[in-house]
Amino acid sequence: MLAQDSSVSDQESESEQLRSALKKVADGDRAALQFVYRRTSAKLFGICLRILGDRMEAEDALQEVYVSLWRRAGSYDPERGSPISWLATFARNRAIDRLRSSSRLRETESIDQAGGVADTQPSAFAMIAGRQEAQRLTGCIDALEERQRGAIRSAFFDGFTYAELAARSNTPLGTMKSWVRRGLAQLKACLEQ
Amino acid sequence: MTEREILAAEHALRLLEGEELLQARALEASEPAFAAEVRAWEARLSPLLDEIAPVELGPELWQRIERSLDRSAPNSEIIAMRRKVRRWQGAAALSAAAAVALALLAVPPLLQQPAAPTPTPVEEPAPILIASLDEENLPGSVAVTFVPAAGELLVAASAIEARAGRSHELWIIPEGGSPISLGVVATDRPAKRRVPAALVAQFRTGATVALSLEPTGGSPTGQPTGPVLATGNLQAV
Repeated sequence: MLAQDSSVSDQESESEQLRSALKKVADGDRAALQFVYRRTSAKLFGICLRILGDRMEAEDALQEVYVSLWRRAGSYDPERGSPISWLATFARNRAIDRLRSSSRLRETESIDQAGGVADTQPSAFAMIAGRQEAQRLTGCIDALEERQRGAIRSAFFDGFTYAELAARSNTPLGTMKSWVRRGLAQLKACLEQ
Repeated sequence: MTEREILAAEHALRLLEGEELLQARALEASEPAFAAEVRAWEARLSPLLDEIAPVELGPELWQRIERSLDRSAPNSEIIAMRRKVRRWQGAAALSAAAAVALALLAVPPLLQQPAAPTPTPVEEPAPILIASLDEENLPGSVAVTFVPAAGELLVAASAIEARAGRSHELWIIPEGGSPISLGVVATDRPAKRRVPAALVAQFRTGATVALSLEPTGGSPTGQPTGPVLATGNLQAV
């Protein structure tokens, strides 16, 4: 599933399989949880590791993701879209919660460095979005002014709060907020075109 | 975008902290439209997560997860619990508030079990507690959700009739103790409030929560003076 050229139909059937496995997890089927783990753990671990920057922390976060999935799998709503996208967002949110509660254990890189993520090929690991959807989002983000793009990407990938973004780029908080807000509004308009 | 939409986007990105974060969480718990907007932003941005390369793991982590599942309550209990929660959710028209609070705030550190020695000790966090106050003689109901991580109480009254010259007051009653006021309940909208640190310890499984009818502004004596309209018990979810 990590193949670079996973086709749309592969992605769809992958999605279907995950969906039905999640339903079984909700009914207490542990084999189904293991199936979900096998299919998604590398992806979700990458996300936790990216945000937490520490392997042990990322493993703990990942453990939390699957344990809470087991205990509350009922909260996945199929109406909510693709299960992998839901899981990936869940992992990101969990990793950020952990980051906040552990008061920043990690050595964080500067925003400039974080911006370097953009150099990786956007759809190289496509699991979550179809190629078109990913390209569209990338295009809309690229169309933002550089400082807006930098701040939004940094918030997304590093889990920085407004205050942290402002401090790290020596920008007044109010200015940072208005950059980001304008960027988000522009992004939404672009995606809705 | 409206201010609400912006707040939803900011919350989805996890930019907020402090008062703004609490506001976003409260809205998320009480307003389905706001929660949906947060979900929509998460979905919008989620393709970015494809930029992050998968990282393979050794077999140890799955083993650790399995051990942790073994330590957690037997699954049948969990399913029974889910059923209970669903029933409780069905009980109140405003259940969305609590359901979303559960879905979003109840999450995992809260669900870690204390345990046999593990490589990484995880402290046992307090569970979310819920109570549904509905009684035959009370038209409507009150859903109470206590979120220990935030030290917040979400109170959602539904179809409770406001009465002139009267206030509805919420109480927590420790086992064997006297009622402690949690304040007056708004009948027309969900509300969240911070629980004073001194009171947090009272929020435990089984504690009774009660609603009484008092003079406007609440009981003048510090103890319930009017009829008790409904009671419920806090349950961990």
